[in-house]
Amino acid sequence: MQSETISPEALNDVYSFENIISLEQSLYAGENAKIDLSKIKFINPYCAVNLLLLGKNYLKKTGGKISLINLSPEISSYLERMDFIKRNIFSIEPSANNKLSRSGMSKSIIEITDIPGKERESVKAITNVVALFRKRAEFIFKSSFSENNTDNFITVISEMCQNIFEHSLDSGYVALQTYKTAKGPVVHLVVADSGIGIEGSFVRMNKNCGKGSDLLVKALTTPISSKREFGYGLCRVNKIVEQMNGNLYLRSNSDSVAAMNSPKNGRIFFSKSNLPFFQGTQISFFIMGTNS
Amino acid sequence: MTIFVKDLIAKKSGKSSSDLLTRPVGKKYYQSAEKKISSAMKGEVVILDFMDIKVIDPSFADEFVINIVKLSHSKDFYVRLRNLTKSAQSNISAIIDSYTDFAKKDYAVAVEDLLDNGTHFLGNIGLQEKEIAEFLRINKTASTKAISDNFSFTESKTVNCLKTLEKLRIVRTDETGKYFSVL
Repeated sequence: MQSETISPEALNDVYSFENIISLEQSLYAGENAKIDLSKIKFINPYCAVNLLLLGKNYLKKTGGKISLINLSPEISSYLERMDFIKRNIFSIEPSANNKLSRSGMSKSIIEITDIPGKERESVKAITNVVALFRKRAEFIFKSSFSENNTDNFITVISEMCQNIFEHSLDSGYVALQTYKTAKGPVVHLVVADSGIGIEGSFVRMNKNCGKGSDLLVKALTTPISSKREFGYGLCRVNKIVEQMNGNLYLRSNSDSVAAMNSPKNGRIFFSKSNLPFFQGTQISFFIMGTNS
Repeated sequence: MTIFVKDLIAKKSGKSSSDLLTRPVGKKYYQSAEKKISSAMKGEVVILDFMDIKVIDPSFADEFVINIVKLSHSKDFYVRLRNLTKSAQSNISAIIDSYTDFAKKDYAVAVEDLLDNGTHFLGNIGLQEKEIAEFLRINKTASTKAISDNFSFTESKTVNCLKTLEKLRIVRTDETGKYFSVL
């Protein structure tokens, strides 16, 4: 049997996941699709959630599972802790002598959680995620903890997750993780789906608000909505992220935009079009915490 | 009439949350509030008290606050908000601005708490109108002349400002021509 294997060098930022997307089609060429994680020492939540989407799409299209191979004990433990493995979307083959084990309960994460595509279930899921976030906010923000930061994050979680059942015609995932970088601690939130994408949502409602990455920038800067005659969703999210001095990355089908604050130019946007197609909308938002 | 927003659904369902989130939940709360408001008298001030509520997300605010403000225009009552957190203020303000932009009609709402903008009003209100509304809030009631004298405005300018505020349902007037704050 033919075997196709992808061996990513890194899974630590949105750009490293682009490498996987560019190789995604090769997974469909053989019958034993594999992703070799032997070089991976760290996975950020954006990559974890999108890897899950990639596996879910593969399962849906082929009926088979992609194998994740050569996971280090740290990566296995991380994926267990984030409730990645229990979804049973991948065949997991840890490296020799590495039994899967879940490390102690961490209060500084929100495990990968399903956001269903149906309104009632989705509202329930959002309510539960927000309740969990409120309970853990003190551990997530540590010294940056404040009522206002917590409340702002809750608005962001709620608005981003609602887009899944209101616009995507699919279910999705939300996850949050804190980790350390050279620049300081990071609080990183990811919401992603494999739905029709932002442009698809506007086309479906016969609304012409632009195309490609221009539409993504517009969605972040103008109160437009595909479903209602008006709306705020992503635009309000971007405003809050800006006030929190955070970075936001939005990818939808073949377009992306990164938004960040610049001391000289205020909020700036870097957009890209004609990226390799990855179905749906994926949003990553992170803020830097303080070093104590 | 005072409506404790937290109790609108919580009392019935036994569930209670400090966060008011999503459009479907906003719709439910609006339907429940609408029933209560239907017994309000013409010209009555309806206070929406958000005590113990921390977050009101824009989607909830759009379905709940905006629809009650719109209802106040068609059913002739006044709306006043109470106990808003910073986050709630900010989300409601954003959604009023967004709706004003869409409807091409100015909307505003009075708030008992002192807001980050230094006033007690959210929405699209001009600077002079804001000053007059604050004057009325402090003095509770005043005549056009008293307002003109206080700000050294011409009477016609004052009348125009008051008419704008009346349209926004931020101030009320009676048959004697005196103006009253809704706060």
